[in-house]
Order: sequence, then structure tokens, then C-alpha cells
Amino acid sequence: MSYREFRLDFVLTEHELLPGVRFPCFAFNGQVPGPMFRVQENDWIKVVARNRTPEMHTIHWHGVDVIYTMDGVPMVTQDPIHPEETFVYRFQARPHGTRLYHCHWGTPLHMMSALHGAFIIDTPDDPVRAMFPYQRDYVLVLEAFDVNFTRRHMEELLGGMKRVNKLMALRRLSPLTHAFFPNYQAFLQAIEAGWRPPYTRGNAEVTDIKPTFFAINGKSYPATVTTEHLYIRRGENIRVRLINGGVFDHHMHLHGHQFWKVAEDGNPLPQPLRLNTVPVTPGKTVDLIVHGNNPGFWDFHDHKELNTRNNGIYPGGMITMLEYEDLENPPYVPSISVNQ
Amino acid sequence: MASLRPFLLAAALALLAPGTRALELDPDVPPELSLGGRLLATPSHQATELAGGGSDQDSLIDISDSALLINAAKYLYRDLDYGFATFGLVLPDDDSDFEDGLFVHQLFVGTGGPAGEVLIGRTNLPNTLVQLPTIRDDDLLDYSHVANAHLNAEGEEFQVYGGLLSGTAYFGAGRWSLGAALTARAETDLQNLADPERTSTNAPNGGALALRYELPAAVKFDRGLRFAGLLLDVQRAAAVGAPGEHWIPAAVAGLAYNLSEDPEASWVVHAQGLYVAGEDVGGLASAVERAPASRYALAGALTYAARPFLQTRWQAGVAFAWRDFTDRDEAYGVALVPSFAYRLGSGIDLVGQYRFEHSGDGLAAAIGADTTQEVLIGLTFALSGTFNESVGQRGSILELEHDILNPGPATRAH
Ligand SMILES: [Cu+2]
Repeated sequence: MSYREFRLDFVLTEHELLPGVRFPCFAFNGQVPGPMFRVQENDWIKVVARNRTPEMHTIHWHGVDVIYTMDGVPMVTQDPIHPEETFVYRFQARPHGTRLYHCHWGTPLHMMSALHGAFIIDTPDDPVRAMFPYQRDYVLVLEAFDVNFTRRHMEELLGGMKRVNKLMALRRLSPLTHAFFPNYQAFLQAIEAGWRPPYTRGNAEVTDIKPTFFAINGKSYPATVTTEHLYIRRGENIRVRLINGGVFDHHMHLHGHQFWKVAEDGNPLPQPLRLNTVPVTPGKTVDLIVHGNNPGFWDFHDHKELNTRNNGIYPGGMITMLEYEDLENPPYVPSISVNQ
Repeated sequence: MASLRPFLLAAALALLAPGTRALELDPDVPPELSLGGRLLATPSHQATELAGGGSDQDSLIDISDSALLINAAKYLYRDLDYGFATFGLVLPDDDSDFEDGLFVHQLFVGTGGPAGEVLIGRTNLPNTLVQLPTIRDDDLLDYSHVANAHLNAEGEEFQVYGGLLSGTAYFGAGRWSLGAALTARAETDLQNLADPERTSTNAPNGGALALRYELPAAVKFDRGLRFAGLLLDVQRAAAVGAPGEHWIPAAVAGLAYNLSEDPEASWVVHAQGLYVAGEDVGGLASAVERAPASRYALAGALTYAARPFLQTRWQAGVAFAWRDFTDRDEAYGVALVPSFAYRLGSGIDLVGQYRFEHSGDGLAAAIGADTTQEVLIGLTFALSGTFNESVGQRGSILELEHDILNPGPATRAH
């Protein structure tokens, strides 16, 4: 059996969302979002995942029907990948459609980091392509970040993990240190013996996450201009794959067009829906077909307008554009504004 | 004409003010605010053997050294540069000349960036390097700090805190700093010791230079050097009971060393040596005579912290100190202070401490006490809460180990 082989490194990096805004985060191969997979249905996939951070991680193949030991849920299907360890994921890519992958070490810091990416499984018999022939498709990963939270908690985590990793090296990490138990009974016994779980009052620091930056493929408007614009020509169909890699709702709205929603969670809909605004909730993917029938420059943005700001300043965040390439003499050409 | 100028300027500004406000586009950016401080309530009993024979007993419900602080910080227009300010109140000792009052012990404003920091105002004087594991920061003040040679009054506040105009440069990936400060220690009239009167609190009367190597505890918790410092301090003080002024230089060297490799049980040693190159002022009876006198002082401590499951449960320390006034015979003092803190919950400790202090005959005769013993037991509550967290911190792991700059004030009182 021959595998298509990929490498994913967990890296602590400093990512630039737009000029003037950088923040520390975990990212696959140092990219936000992680590298995009484009594979064929039923390909055998081998992913060598190396953890080059002091934190623990896994990879979950969201919406891919892998065997359960490859599902990447820590303490459920595998031990977490410890710092400097490597774990090899092997699975068959199926079923076809727009899917994603993300770290399943689901702490708030991870949610506010960037360990997620697109996993696109193609097939020659794609019913969407059969119904709406298209050449170009675009993948937009939708993200929200509380950069203050990430900076502070990254610092706390790095300090805490120094001690945890030291105990682990000394082979002295006890279940109580990390609140890991072999089963529910052991957890109850620990509580009976006087151990108090970290979420009880007096022990828990209540964390509040308020995202201040919103991004498409790691960039906030106006930095979305550089790579995240959708290009189309008159009469052309383009496919747009939306992936929510974060934990907030986004309601993407396209101006001047009624698009077809053709798939949800990667699976083709029996009957495409004609819409101009589509919700993309956490963990969801939505595929759209846009038909080029109204030349111009068209806003494509989160209609939850609080998410079209950078640190509270409008316009920013989750805004990009549908741009016709075959406009000859446009009467109005877009410019850039970062404070209205 | 010259005397009218300030008035004209003020009038012009008053006329301009409404206009400038209308054009004001700057948003009101709220600072990061942290509320800090520590409340201590420790019933104590002290027994003193007097130098001339006999003894003295003293009991107290001691709440001194309790302090409340507000720190504020925000970034400036320039990326990575920040401003900061602190206001703090502390309750002086019962035997202080400031009893029943609150003392503003922290009030400073500063600005900084990746390479350095400037601070102006009142804060801890740069006159000591290590923090000993005693319940109150001043329990071994006579051994650990360069004393104020301008002051003839009881008031540890004026030994520990003072005015500062200081600049600090950071280098060596943030691990090293070099600081220079103009210092202002509180002064009393030293010509009339019988009836001291405070003449100034904030007039500059000295300076200090400090070189430090420091790794934060979060970064350096396993075996090795965590801190080393060298401090030079100089005071320009009036001579006691005589006309004229003199220079009093002092040097301090200190270190902190981690003995343990175990994150659940840490052993740390602190050590500090201090030398005052003073002069023989004729006696050692009052603090203002002892301060400029030539002396050596050593202070050291061993601290153990038990952190089962990485949660602090208790800490025990023993501090040892010694001082010797070189111009007098038998003018030495020793102190031994074991202390204990049991953590009842996050920030709330049950504390206990025993203090033994003995002076050689030469010093005992001067200060009146031969041996002092003190026992205290009580509760402490550390306040801390940060609102609108948005400013980084100096010496972060992100900076030290991952080259990600996120600077913030080094000086946040707590
Ligand atoms: Cu992870």
C-alpha cells in the first residue's frame, strides 16, 4: 500500500494578522492556518506529526472517517503527543468533501491559537462539479483571536509546562498533578482522598475570552487584499469552501449575488439552496457556488458586523472581496480604509 | 513683564482649550489596571533583655506593613513602548514616628521599551539586592539594607522607600540590566538630634548604580544561579551634630541560587554582603549615627517550598544575619529568623515567625538591648487582580526563550 506522506510540525510562532498586529500562537509548520491538504478520495494518507512546542497536542481529522485510533482525541483514542515526540497518523481519506483538521487538545489557549487547517478530499465523480462545472475554487478558513488572552496564557502555559515536563522527565508526574485518571472511579477516589478538582471555587481562575481580531486564512482586513480575494470572470462558476476553525459564529454575506449553497459539513446537499448569507458555526464547513453574472467589486464579509473590526475599529477583520477580472473601465475602483 | 508671562500663557491656553478639544480625535484608551497589596494581621509578643540588666515585654496585634497598591500601564503611540504608574499606601510600624498615619510608599510614573525603562517618583530605594524569607520585608532591615544617613527618626518607611530618578538598560536577551539612579532619602535636621524635625522628603541626596543578572522564577526553577547583583550606593549627608557634609559610599553584592531540581520541592539560597565605607561618628546610639558608621553586614537565607501536584502548600525559611561596626569593639549583632507559611488557599496564608537577635556588648550598650526575641503568628491575605489585561511583561519566557518581544513594566509593585 502506498501512502501520500505529509509532515506537520507543531510550532510556537509569532503570527502577523495585519500590519502592526502580531501575536504568539501555536501553528502547524508555523503557518496560520496550517497547510492545506488536497487529496483524492480513498488515498492513503500518512502524516508525521512532530511536536516542537513545550505543550501537548494531537491532530483530529474533522469529518474524516478514520479508524478510531487515528481520531486524535487525547485520552480517548491516543495519548497526547508530548513535547519533542512524533506521532504518525495513517488513514484513508474519505468521504470526499471540504473537511478540516485541528488539534484536539481543546484548551482555551488552543482555541485562541491557530492549530487548524483545511483538508480537502476531491473525487472525479464530484456531484457538485457535475451540477455546476467550475475550474477555480477558493478555501477560506474563518478565525477569531483574542490576542491579549493568547499572549498572557501562552506565557502562563510556558511556565507551567516547564514544571510539568520536568516532572515527566523525572517520571514523577502523578495523575493529580495533571488531573489525568485511568477511569472515573480513580477520579472519585482522588476526590474522596481530599483532592479538589481545579474547576472548584477557590481553585479556578475564571477566564473570559473576547476576540479582538477576526481573520480569513490568517489575515484580517485590509491584509485580506493580498491573498484572500475571490476572482471571477463573467459567466464563470467558482466554488468557495468556508471552514470555521474557531469557536465563534460567522454569517458570511456576499453582495450583488445569489449563490448556491451546495454542501454542508463537506457533504453535497440533495438540493442546492439559493442564498446570499450563510451561517458557518464552529466546526462547520459550507461549500458555495458563485456564478459570475454581475460584474463589479463585491463585499464578502461576516454580517455579524462586530467581527468586521480590528481591535474594535471598523472596518477590519472578516472582510474580503469578490473581484471580476474582466472589468474594462470600472466607474469606481475600491480603495482602503481602516477607520470609518 | 517677566512676572506676567505665566499669567498670559495660562490665559492663552484657556482660550485655546475649547478649540483643541473640538479637534481632539484621540480615543480614551483605558489602561491595564491591577489592584495589589497584602494585608497582614499577626499578633506578636516580644521579649527584650536590656543591656543594663532587666527585661522588657511587649505585645501587639501587628497590622503594620499592610499595603494597598494600584498599578496602571498602557502602550504608547510607538509600538512596544509603554508607560506605567503606581500608587500605594502602607501602614507604618507601631513604634514609628508616623504611627496612625498611612504612608504613600509607592507613587511613580515611568516609561519604557524593549531596551530600557525610566522611572520617576517614590518607590523602594535601590539599597538592597535580595529578599529574605521573613514575614515582613523589614524584619532584618538593619542587616539587609544600606541605612538612611540623613534621618534621625524611627520610621522604616524612610529607610526602605525614597525618591528616585532612575534609568535601567536591559541587555543580554533581557537577562542583564544596568541601572543608575539619583536617590532622595528623607532628611531630618541633624544639627539638633534632641528634637528632630523633618527638613525634606524628596530632595536628591545620593545615587546608586546596580548591575543585575536575573532569570525569573518561571524560567529558572531548576538548579543554578537565578540572580546575581552588584550595587553601589552613595549618600551625601550632613555630619551628625557638626557642620559640613560628607560622602557615605556603600557596596552590596547578592545572589539567589536554586539548589533543587524538583518542581514540587524547591530549595533556594539567598546571600548578600554589604559594606558601608563610613566613618566613626562618635557613637552608635541612634539610627542616624549607625547609618554612616563603617560596617560589614551579611544576610543569608535558605527557603524550602513544598508544592505537591505543583500547587503551593507550605513554605519554610530560615534567615541568618550578622553585622559588625568596624570602628567599635564588640559592636556586632546577629539575628536568626525561622519562619513558616502554610497556604490555606490561593493568596491566603497562615504565617508564623520567631526572631532572635543578639548584640555584642559594644552595640548592646549603645542601643540598650542585649537580646531580643519575638514570636508572631497570624494571617496574611495577598490581593491581586488585573483588569483589562493588555500589557506584556519584562523577562517573559516568550522573550527569553522564543524571541517574541512583549515588553511591559519591570517595576510593578506588589
Ligand atoms: Cu494543541
